[in-house]
Amino acid sequence: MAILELRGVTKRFGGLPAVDDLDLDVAPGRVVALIGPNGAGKSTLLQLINGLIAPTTAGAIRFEGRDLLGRSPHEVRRMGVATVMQRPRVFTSMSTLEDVAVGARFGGGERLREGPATEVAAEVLERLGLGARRDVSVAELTLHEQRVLELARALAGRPRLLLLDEVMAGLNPTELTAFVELVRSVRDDAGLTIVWVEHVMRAITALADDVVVLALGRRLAAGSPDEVMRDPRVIEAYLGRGAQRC
Amino acid sequence: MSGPLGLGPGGVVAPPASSLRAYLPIVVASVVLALVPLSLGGSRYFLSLGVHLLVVASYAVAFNLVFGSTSQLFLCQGALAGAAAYCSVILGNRYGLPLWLTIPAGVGLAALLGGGLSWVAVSRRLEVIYLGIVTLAFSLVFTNLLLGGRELTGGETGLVVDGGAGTWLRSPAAAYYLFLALLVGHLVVYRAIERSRLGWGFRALRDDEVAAALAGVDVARAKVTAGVVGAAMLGSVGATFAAHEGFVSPTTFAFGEVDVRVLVVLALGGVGTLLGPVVGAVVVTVVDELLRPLGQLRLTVYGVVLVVIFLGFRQGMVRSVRSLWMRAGTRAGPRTD
Repeated sequence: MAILELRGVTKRFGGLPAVDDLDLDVAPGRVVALIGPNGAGKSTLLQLINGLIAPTTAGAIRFEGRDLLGRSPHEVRRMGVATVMQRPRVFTSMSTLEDVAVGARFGGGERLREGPATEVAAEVLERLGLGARRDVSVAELTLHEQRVLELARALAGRPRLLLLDEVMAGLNPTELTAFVELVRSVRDDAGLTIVWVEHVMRAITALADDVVVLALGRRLAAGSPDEVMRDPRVIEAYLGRGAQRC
Repeated sequence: MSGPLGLGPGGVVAPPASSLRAYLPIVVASVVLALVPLSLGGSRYFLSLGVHLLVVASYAVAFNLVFGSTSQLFLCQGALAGAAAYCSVILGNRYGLPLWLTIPAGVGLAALLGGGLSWVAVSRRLEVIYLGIVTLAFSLVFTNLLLGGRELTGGETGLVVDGGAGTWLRSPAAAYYLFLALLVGHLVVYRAIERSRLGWGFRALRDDEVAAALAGVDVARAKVTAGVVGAAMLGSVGATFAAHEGFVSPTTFAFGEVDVRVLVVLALGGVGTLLGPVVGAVVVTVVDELLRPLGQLRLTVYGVVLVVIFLGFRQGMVRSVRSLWMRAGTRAGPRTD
C-alpha cells in the first residue's frame, strides 16, 4: 500500500495549471525524486502536500490513508510529514540546539516538554554530525550547516515522510557528497520515505529509487534514474526538440 | 541554553532556564517601585504621576506580548482598554452591578475584541503593516462610536463612574499599589508565557512564520492567544483605571494619549524584553516631568530628547545596557593569552 497517494491533483493559478491532473503513488521506504524543467510544478506539488498552498483546485492527497487536503502546515507536520525547504529557514534568535528542539517539541504527535525535547534535539544533532555546534547561534552556521540543521529539525519530530525541496542547491561538491550520504543514512536508519524535488542529477542518480519527471504540471515519465535519463521525451523536455539529433 | 544574563544568540533575549533567574528581575523591579511612594513624602501629585507611569507600563507589557512576541501591530491599545472601561462603567452605572463583576466583564469584552482582531489578521494573512492599518481603523471607529453613542457613553463629555466612589480605590496611595500589583501580575504572566511551550512557539514564529508552521507550531492559535491575553491585560488596566479616576471620556483612551505613548515607551525600553516596558515608562515619565517648566517649548524639547535617546539606544535601553554590561565583563575577564 502506498504511504502517499495523489489522485487527479490539479492546482491552477489564475487559470494557468501549475499541477495538472496528476496521479502519484509513493511506496513506504522509497526515495522518489521529482524532476523537470523550471515551472514544471514540482515545488507547487510539495507545497500542496505540506499545506503551504491552499487546497487544490481538484483531486485528492492522502498520507497513510488520511486526507491531507485543507489541513494547515502544522497539522500535516504533526501527522508525520516533514519538509526541508530550498532556502534555509532557520530561527535566527535561537541556538542550533533550540532550533532543533522546536521541531521535537511541536513536530511530533506527542506533546514533549522542554527537557525531553532538548534531549531529542541533542541526539539528532549528534547523529547528523552537528553536535559540536549545538550552542552556536544558527545565524553563524554555514549554508551547508543550516541545511543539516533544517534536516535535524525535520527529523526531531520523527516524521515518516520527508519532503525535500532542492536541498542540494548551492552546495559545493564536497558538501554535496556529504549531504547525499547524510540523507542516505537518515533514510536507512529511520526507514523514511522521501519525496525529493531536485535539479542536481548527480545527487539523484546516487540516491533516488524512482524518478518522476514533470512538465507543465503533468507526469511526463517515470521509472528508475537510468531509465528516465535515457527517455527521449525527458531529453526533449530538458534540452529541446533538436537535442536528440545532435 | 541562553547565554549570560539571558542574552541568547543573535542578541535576542531568551528566558532564563532557572525560575529564580527568570523571576528575579520582576521581584527587584517591584520592590524598587514599591519603595517610590515612601520617598515622595505622600505628595498627591507625584503619587498620581506614579499611577500614570504604572498604567502606561502595564499597557506596554500587554503590547509587548502582542507585538514583541508575535509581531502583531495592534494600534488600538487605547480602544481595547477603553472598551473594557466603558463596558465596566456602563454596567455599573446603569445596572448597579459591583466592580468585581463589571471589571471582569470589561476584560472579557476586550479579550473578545483582541482575539477577533488577531483572528482576522490570521485568517486574512495580514502582514504587520496591514494589521496596523486595520487596528488603527478599529481605533478610529471606537472613538467615533463613543462620540456618536451619546446616550450610552456621554459623548465628548464622558461619564462619571459610580463604582468605587468614596472607597480606597480613589486614594492615590492605595491606587499606586493596586496598579503596581497589576503591573507585576502582567510581568509574571508575560514571563510565564515566555517560558512555556506557547512561548517557544512565539519565538519561532517571530523569527520565521513559515518555518514555525512547518516545524509544527500552530501559528494561528498562537497569534490569537497572544491577541486574547494582551487585550485582556489592556482591558484590566483600562477598566481599573476608570474606577480609580472616577471619570471616563474619549480622550482618556484616545490614540494619541495611549497608543503613541505606549509605542514610544516600548521602543525606548526594548521590544521583546521583560523590563523594557517598565524602563521605558520610567524614562518617558521622568523626561516629561523634568521638561514641564519649559511650558510651550516642552513638547519640542521632549521630541528632541526622545530622538537623541532613540539614536543612542537603537535596540532599546534594556538590550543596549545589557550589551554594554556584557562587553565590559568580557574586557575585564581573565586573559587567556
